[in-house]
Amino acid sequence: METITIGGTDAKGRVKTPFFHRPYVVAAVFLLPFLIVFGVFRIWAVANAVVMSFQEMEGIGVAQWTGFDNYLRLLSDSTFFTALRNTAFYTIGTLLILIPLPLVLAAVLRSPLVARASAFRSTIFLPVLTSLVVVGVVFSLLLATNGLMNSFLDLFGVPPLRWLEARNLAVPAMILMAVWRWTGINVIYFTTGLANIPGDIYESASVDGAGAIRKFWNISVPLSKPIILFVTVLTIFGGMQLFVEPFILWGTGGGPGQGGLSVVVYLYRTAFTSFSLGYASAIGVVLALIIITLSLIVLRAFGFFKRD
Amino acid sequence: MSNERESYGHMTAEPHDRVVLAEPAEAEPGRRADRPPLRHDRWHRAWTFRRKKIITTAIVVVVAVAFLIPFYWLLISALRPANRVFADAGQFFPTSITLSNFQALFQETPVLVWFANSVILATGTVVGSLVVVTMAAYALAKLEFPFRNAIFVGVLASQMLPFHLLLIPLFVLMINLSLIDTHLGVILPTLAHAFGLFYMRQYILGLPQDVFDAARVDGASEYRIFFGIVIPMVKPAMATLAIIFSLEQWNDLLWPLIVMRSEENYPLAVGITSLVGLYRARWDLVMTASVIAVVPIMILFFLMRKQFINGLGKIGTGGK
Repeated sequence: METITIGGTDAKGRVKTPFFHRPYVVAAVFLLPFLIVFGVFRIWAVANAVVMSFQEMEGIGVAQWTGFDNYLRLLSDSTFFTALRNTAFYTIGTLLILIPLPLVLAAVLRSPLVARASAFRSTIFLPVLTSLVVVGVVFSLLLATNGLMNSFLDLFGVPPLRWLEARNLAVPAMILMAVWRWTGINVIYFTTGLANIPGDIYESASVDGAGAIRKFWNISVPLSKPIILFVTVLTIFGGMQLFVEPFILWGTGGGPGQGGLSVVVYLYRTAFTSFSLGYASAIGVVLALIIITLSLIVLRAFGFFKRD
Repeated sequence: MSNERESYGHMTAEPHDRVVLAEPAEAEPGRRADRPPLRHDRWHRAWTFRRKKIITTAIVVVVAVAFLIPFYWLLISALRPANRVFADAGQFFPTSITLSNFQALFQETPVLVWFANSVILATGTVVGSLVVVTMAAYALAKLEFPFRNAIFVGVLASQMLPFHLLLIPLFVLMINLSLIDTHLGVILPTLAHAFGLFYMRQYILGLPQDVFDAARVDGASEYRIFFGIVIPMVKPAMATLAIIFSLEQWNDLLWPLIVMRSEENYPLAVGITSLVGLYRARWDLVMTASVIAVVPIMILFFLMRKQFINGLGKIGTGGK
């Protein structure tokens, strides 16, 4: 067998490795492209967001240090708290629906009680592929006061609801859109999770006389804990960063009585229509802290940090 | 209680109901007497199972139809005469159907340019991320160097940072780099894809180590191993990531909305948004442009259904 040796030998006969073949250099060559984009567009950017939240910009590149002014202003900004409340209600609403509903659907679709289950999974997966812009556009027709939703409710004698024009219906309307958009992917997550539960657990439960509902509640739910945890964190992340739906439905205005104003829409409005880049950065930092804190609380509640 | 027991055999995945049927009956001989004879019992069970199956399937069909209605609405709204799109938003069946909205869209908006921009952005993101991610994943999986785990954990932890936090610094950076209103400006921040790195690293770790050992014994350099062994072997993982990256870029709004300033540089998502903002009443253009944004993805999905579902589902199971 032919052996290829890279590089020659030096005067003392030691093997000399060319520069680009030295182990650490090789590692650096492979790693650097990623580390450069990661360093600039993640690490540096995050650090800069924090720095900018303590400044106010007078035009691009002309920054003035203002200390905690932006944060103090935030504390007395009622619009920010309206946005935060809307976003929180939206997140809670999506959590309450988008975990139990897909988990039950996943379990039902796995049982032999449904014919052609994979066709159903594919069908409810279709919205996942749809751009949120298109979701917003379609639902502004479906939920219009003269729209299909109200025609449907009319069949049951429900008077027309002003989904997109009433302050207290803005968040429910967005939750409805979220349920349509995200149920499919959560069903896939839970299906994968359920498939990893060993079948003999169910069998021995059957022998002990457990029914379908008890098996779901006592086996499927607890053993899906890691996936439930993951979906919870993902839902909190997605919910708190709500942007596209309210932006398509109501622009930067925030909708009826600011009922559809989310924190990120407010951030966008502050940065790109009022051009208060420093204040917008402070909004971003506070929202990030809220999201990270919530995620850590959830991870802790699920016992994620416990060593076993 | 007895009802519950009757159903359990069917709720598990395997058709082993006959086996479980006999066991509890013998375990509780007392109950046996009040029950009908076994043959009838089996027939009864089969019938209940069928009835349950029909009812459950019917419920699921209703759910599936409800999920399809927005797609029907998208299509039917695009096909209504322009002045009826919003006015008839509550009419399930259209009174007349026309393709004239598409004609108007092509005449009044640069929708084909938007489409091309979406393709360019998706392609750029996919190619760029795959190169960057696969190289780094190989280093993290198979090479030895200091801080290897620290780098990996750091990248994973960065996923805890929400993207909105980066918007403003990246916007200022793009202005300073003169990358505002360029495709590169949209693509660059998407390249350091943490999940992509994680997934690719796991995949490379799962490749048989003998192949690498053999290549090193033969004196192949790390570069040759990478191009000759790793690239051909990770193609399935690349396909999975390509689906995820392109879908994310195709459907993204916020970052391209900030970077792209002139109409001829908009991707479809930004173009549609501009139509919603500019012409509040032009629902005909909005709906037709939306159809054009959705249809290519749907075609790809039906061609590669398994890859899509497995690929996107992998995010949830940590890439396994």
